[in-house]
Amino acid sequence: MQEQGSTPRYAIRLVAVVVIAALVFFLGLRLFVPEGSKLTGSYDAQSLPYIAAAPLAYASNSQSCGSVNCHSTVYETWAKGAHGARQEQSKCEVCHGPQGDHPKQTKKLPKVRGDGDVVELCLVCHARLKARQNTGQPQIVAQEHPAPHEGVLKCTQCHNPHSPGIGAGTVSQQGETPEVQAPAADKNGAKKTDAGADAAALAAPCFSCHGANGRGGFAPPIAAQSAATLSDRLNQFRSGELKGTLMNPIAAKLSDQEITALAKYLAGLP
Amino acid sequence: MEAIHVTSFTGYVYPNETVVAWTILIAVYPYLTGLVAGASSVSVLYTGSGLKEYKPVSRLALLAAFGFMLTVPIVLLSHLGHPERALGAMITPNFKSAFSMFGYFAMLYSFILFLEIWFEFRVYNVLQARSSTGIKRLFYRTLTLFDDNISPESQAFDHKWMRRIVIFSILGAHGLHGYVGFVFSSLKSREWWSSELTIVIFVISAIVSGLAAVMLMYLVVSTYRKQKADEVCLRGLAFYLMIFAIFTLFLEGVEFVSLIYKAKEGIGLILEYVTGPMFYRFFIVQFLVGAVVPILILFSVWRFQLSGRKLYLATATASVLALAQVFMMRYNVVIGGQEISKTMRGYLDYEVPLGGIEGSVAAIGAIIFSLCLTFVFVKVFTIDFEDESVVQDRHTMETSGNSGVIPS
Amino acid sequence: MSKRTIPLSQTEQGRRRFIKQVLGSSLLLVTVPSLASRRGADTVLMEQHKQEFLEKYSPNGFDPFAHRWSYGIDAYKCIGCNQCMTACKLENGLPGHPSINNRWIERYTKLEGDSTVYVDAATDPANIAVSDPDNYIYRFDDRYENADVEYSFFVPKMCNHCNVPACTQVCPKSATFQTPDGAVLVDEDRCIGCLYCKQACPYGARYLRPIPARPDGVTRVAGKCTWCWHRLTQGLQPACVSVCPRNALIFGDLNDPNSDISLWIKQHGREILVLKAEMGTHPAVKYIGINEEVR
Repeated sequence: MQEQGSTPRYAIRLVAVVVIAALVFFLGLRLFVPEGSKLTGSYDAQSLPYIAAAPLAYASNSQSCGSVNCHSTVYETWAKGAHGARQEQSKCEVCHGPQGDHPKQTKKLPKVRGDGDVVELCLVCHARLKARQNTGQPQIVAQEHPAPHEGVLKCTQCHNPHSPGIGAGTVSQQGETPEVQAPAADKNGAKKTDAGADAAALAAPCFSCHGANGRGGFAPPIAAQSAATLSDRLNQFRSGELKGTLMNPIAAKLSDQEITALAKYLAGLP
Repeated sequence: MEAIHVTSFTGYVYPNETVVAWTILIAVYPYLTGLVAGASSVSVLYTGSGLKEYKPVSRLALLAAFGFMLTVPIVLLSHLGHPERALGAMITPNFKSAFSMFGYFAMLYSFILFLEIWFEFRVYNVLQARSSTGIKRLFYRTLTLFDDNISPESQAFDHKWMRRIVIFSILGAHGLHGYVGFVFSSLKSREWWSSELTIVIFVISAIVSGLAAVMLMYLVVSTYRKQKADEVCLRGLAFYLMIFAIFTLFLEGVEFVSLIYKAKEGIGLILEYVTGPMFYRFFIVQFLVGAVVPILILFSVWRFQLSGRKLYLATATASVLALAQVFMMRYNVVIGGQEISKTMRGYLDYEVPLGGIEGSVAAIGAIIFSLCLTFVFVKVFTIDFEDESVVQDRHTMETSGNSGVIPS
Repeated sequence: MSKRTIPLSQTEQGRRRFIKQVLGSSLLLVTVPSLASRRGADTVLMEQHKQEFLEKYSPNGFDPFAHRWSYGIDAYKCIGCNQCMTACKLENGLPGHPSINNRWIERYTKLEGDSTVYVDAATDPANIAVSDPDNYIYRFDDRYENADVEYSFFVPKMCNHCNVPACTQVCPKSATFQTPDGAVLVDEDRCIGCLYCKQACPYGARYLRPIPARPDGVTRVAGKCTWCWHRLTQGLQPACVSVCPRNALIFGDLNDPNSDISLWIKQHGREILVLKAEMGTHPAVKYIGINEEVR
């Protein structure tokens, strides 16, 4: 029979080596457990202040943009306009980019939009997409807006980006061409009694293309022209005699009295 | 900035999925652990169960297992974003995570393998120490812990403990590889992975790959040494390989058929993918050429009792095909699973780059590295057994109870 | 000793032993689940050491235990302008590349007479062609403008900051974790970039960070939406919520009955859905206006 004798020397040495190595390894590892982990039992809580110290990019407080000593005028306009008055707000930083380190760093329209291409920026939200159909978002097809026209107009030529609705207080509804003129007459077709105020209100939208007080913008000057010329021209646009212009759909919505009133008013401007 | 490797896709996949996270090295990793499990099992045929036919491959298999085992951490670490922090998974492990538990398991199993090797070659080391000088002598003496006792009592002691260690070795090897399967199958986010059968398939196909690898290595070594490979051993291994290959084919088939039958959400996409981009890899390589063909070859080895050159050729071919099949299975699980999008509406078309850490060169390099390690171990130790005049065969000693007379 | 009358040959004994050893042990061991399910252990331990935690680790005196954040998405309102995606990337230092996102928008379109619902997002090649990712501009193309569309809508997607996150369960080092206020964050200094979390997330919310998020940041670690935790601790809202021009994103503290999210949830009640509810992750991001096609 085999002698079940004492354990051989090498076996004892083996066990000793293994046990010492294991102790050194595992106890040694324990030295490296982070303080934060001891507290949570798993993750290192020290990471929390580190994560919280990440730099801010967006200030995201439109009101502070419009505070008294800063951009208050623009803010007022914005707050009343279509981009600011509705419940869904297009906040300052949507178009202007992150302004977290403003005023130290100013970015006008953000560089990220590539050359500050305004049209591309507006189209990001306003390009027509089938998936936007039921969202209540005003949408256009750039090449077809505002009327069949050679080339695409720059949006800001007609629309104030801080108050983009055209016409007194009008806001574009989805699917309809914006009313590029004053509010229509009431149901009976009766006009407001104050002819002067009425004509001024009618003419106001004209200035977004024809320049302040009709002195000419990207569209030709209309102020101080003869009333006859102006009304003739408007009639020609309305009847289609002069075709394929921006003015056709605009004039088409004017009544005879409105054309007369407009022509008279514009002729009287300095 | 690091280059972002975007994969093209069909249908719809989540944007972040277009960068495939786990690439070919992560397919090599279960392949290697499978080889460890399989080679370990082959070794145990003799050292554990005393089946004398498998004595010729026993030590080779053991050393191969160790070679594969040491390559596993290298493969895993190469793939990490921050390999230098990997040890931290042991400092503050998340006990719920299969990956972190795997780290402990791998360490433990490497240690068990080391113990097995230590006991297996202790007498050899002593003899080497006695017959060499200088650095070599110091090396072997250190390995033997400076004790050159090879008395019959010590050998009996060794054999007793080897028997015990071998049990843990089998537990550990299959536990290790099964755990790797669990790493994949425990994720509910991927339909392709989250089957419980995945673990079983991994384990069984691991045995296939181990058997095939050891057979192939034995043939190569025998050819190199201009010796005849032992036919009884080969035929026995071939028989086991056939059985386990049939079992693997069955399990893989069942898993796939269950998936189709259950027809859960996304099955249309999976079918489109499997019969499309994955058709060749899956049906032709993994099932047909990699499984059915080797089974037929091995069946003819068994049925017609092939011998001589025919036997060597047949077993070599079957082994190569089986090894390719097991790798393709791992690839189809790891990469294929990621190609099937979590949206269940699309799939990706991942192409393995040639170079770089995620390339096929790196993958082949890892396999070659493991073989080089094995070669080193074979040189340091041996795959032959000591002369019986010096060392009594362990099983003769136990069953006959004969202490014998051995010069110390 | 064997009880058989005919002793088995040694080979047969060995063979049986082998089969038993291999199959039995392997099947036994691989079915042992991960040790010690410690779900909720983190929070329990932290509750006990709350005082110490607040003294040492709370940033700016912020008390994460006092809040329970939730997020609402109104898909009826989303116009797919991707401004939230842009804002998120600028706020969190992400590259413009459309494959690395904390959040993204998906467009779902169903055509008349076609039962398939088509989905596309920022990585769609046709969408990339009309976008300028290097300048953080993402657009959807107009491929459906002349088609018969039955319905079409946008769905913003992001990390859902699940109440039972699949990702934190699998992280080997607890480098990704959930704060007491519900945000799932990544510890950049611990993450080893193994991306096991990316595999585990059912929503595709994670990625490997290719550039540092901030000047003192790290690359090649896992990244994800953090609910702009660095803003929450200062009383601000996440960047995406702050810029959405349609107010389609709602954020707030569930512990406050008058917060935006509490009121929104009260208002929309049973319309609220979450993504992949069957996964059992209990997402904190709630949707209205999506249907079962949205995964």
